[in-house]
Amino acid sequence: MAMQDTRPATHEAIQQRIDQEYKWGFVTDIEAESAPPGLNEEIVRFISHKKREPEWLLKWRLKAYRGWLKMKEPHWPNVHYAPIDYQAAIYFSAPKSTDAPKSLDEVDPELLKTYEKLGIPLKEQEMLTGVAVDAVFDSVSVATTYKGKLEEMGIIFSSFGEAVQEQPELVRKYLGSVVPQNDNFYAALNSAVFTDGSFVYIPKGVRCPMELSTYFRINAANTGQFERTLIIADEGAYVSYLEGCTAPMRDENQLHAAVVELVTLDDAEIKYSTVQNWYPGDKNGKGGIFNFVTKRGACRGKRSKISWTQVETGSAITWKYPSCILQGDDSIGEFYSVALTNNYQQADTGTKMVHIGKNTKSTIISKGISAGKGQNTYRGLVKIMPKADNARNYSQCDSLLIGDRCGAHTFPYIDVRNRSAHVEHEASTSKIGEDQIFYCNQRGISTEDAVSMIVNGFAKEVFRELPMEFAVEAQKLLGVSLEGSVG
Amino acid sequence: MTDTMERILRDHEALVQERGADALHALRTEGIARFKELGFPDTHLEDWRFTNVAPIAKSDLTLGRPSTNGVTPDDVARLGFGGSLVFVDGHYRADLSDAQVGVSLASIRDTIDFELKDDAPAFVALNTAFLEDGAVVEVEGELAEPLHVLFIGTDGKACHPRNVYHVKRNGRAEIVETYVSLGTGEHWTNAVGVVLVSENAALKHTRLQLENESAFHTSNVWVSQARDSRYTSNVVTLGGRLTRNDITAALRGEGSLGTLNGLFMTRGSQHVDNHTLIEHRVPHCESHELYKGILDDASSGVFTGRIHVYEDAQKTDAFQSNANLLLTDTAVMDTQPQLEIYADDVKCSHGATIGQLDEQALFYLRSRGLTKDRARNLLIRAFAGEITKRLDVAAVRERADRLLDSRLPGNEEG
Repeated sequence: MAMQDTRPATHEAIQQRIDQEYKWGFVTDIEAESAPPGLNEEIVRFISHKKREPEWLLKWRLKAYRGWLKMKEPHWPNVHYAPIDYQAAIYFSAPKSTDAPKSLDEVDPELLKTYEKLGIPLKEQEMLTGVAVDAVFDSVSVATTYKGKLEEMGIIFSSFGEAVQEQPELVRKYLGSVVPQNDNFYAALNSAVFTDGSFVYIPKGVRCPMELSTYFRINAANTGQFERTLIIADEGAYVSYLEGCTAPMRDENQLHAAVVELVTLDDAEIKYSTVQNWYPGDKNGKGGIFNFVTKRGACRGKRSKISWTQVETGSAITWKYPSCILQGDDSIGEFYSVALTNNYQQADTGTKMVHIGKNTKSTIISKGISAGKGQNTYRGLVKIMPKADNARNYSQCDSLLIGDRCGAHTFPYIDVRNRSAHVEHEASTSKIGEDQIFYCNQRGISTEDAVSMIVNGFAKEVFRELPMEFAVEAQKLLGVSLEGSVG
Repeated sequence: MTDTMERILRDHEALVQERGADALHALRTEGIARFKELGFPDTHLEDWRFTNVAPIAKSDLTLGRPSTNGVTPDDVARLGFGGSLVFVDGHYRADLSDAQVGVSLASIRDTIDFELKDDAPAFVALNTAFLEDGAVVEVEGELAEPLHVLFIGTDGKACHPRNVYHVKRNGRAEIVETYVSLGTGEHWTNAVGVVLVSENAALKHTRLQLENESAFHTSNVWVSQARDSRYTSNVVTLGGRLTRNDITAALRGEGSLGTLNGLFMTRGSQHVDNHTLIEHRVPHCESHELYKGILDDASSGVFTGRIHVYEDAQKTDAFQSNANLLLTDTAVMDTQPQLEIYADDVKCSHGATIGQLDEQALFYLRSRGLTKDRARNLLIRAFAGEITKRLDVAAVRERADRLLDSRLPGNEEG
């Protein structure tokens, strides 16, 4: 029978692809200036002092730290891992040459090489793609390109540390206004020990002419990465922000607990795209990043919009729910996600859409792909508050299973407190069918190409939302992590 | 310790005194110990996030004991469907029943597994603590007529019936449970059902909850299906102040089909919570689930439906749908349709909607001369009809339809 004929080839292809090693694992040798391991008030003070922070920010950190001490690590996500020793991690690690470089020429060539291997040569990007990259290398921003150009338009795009020095009022006004210090266990931890991150302010009526981008990368062993991003789009402003993450290969698990806060005022729009490719651990589930992230946007203004797009292919464990608080009337929240788990990866991800204002709309498109022994969970909340007249939500969660030892789970929460609300949720689960592969084989398409085609077709709705250069990278990533692994 | 907990412990003590060390004694002891440990569930538990049982925990109810008072054959005729097994406050009343119970709980003690599982919820532990009576039905061959079981609760009483239905190999049966109140005061029914559907057997199981709007109703039903069996559950909830129904249907034999239907319509401050779990434990099984809710006034509803597909349960076909209609701005609905899938060759989907009546449909009907109320009622009835039409015992379907009609605005009689 023809169907059986395709099987052995298919099987081999799976094995090949599944066995594919992490391509971006290498360690850069740069002397790091680190704090001693462990976490206590002294470390918080040390970080704050190192960053030459004002008194109010130190107090803010300490409040978060004291709150954190009273909190318990959450265990409700559908993920399993050995307990984390928070006292064993190093909470501050900065590349030694911290004299702020004014141009790329001053940047340590070792660093630049690292980025090159990652496929983001700053120079090339600056010249060819016109993307301004604020590269975060182990917590401290080392190079910011295109800053001058943006400054002319009144756009502030800087590292978080710089923003604290130069824009203290803005930072003070918005920091923690979307994700309060003690919002949850990991947000509190981040608030206490965050080292750097990105800060963006788009003034009234300005449309940011280029995509802003940050590449995060965890380098030194045993360092937790706690970056903090704050983006504010003032009335009528627009910005598209890209975030990409990669980490080198390490045996032990590393913790990454970031906080991202977005604020849009009247008629403003923020588009936030993430391609997350932290080290997922080896094929036996050893090592890999614990990615416990709090991302939340507040549509404060009328007719404002926040759109999250994420492609999650990395991390041993992903635990994140980019959310939208739709406060302003007629505001819009969107969430597009592709999450892929292979080998022993686990992902518990989704979104929260809280409708507070009238005529608010939200769309959720989530595509989960599980292969190997990967576990993929969508967990989402759609909440319609009593005053949110005519709120509208559409959610779609699709899962694709590749292999018979993986899992796909869907846990949506829908809470409606207003009758004029219109809320719909749909979910489906499917696999790549033998007949689909057969159909392609019959037409001369190899099994590998067929799988790649089907997976990309499955995730297309989300890729369409990504800026072009990211869409290409995302497709490549999916290919590398998965190519051909059909069961 | 709360007064209620103290009273429960006292009631248990009295029951133990009365029954002595009978066949169910050890189970009761285990049950009360577990309930003492767990206590009443609070809203911090994920399973109870939206349902607060504090009103039950604070209520002043005593354990229902066997009696011959209070309920007359006229009451039974008025509240039931005839051809019934009748239970008053959880105890079988031979004098009021037309049908005979052939088997007692104690007599099936050894054939049916009553042991508390490690994760047994608090109310199952409590039911086990008061294990004494319930409808025990064993079906061989085909049951010609639907069997009606009527549970009458009287004011101020708590009861914990344990129902066991076993449809044996190649058997066919239809069982209708009806829960009603004699008076208008508080009472609590905490039922547990154990349902076994053997190879190639079929059971249609309907639960009609028509208790008064002061009553508390909690139930846990466990269904275990063997190879090529068919099981259909229809859960219709119109009564009760606070209702929580848990049903777990485990498809343990290949080729089995489980169908769960549910409908509730609430008004005033009624609260209805339906938790369903379908376990696809083996390959080649099918499940269908449709739950609908209509919420009026300041009532609230919860639906949590989970489909769990076990490793290697290939060729599973599972579909779940939940639709809810909010008639007012003060009604609240929380719904969680969940999929947990550990096999790849499966067809699973779920959908959930919450909304109000379609403006265009209303306009269409009004443009054809229907009054606003009639147009609205027609749409609500059509929404509910998708479930009531699945009730294939005519008397039950007609009663459910009549009660639904009476609740629609413009024809509220009772």
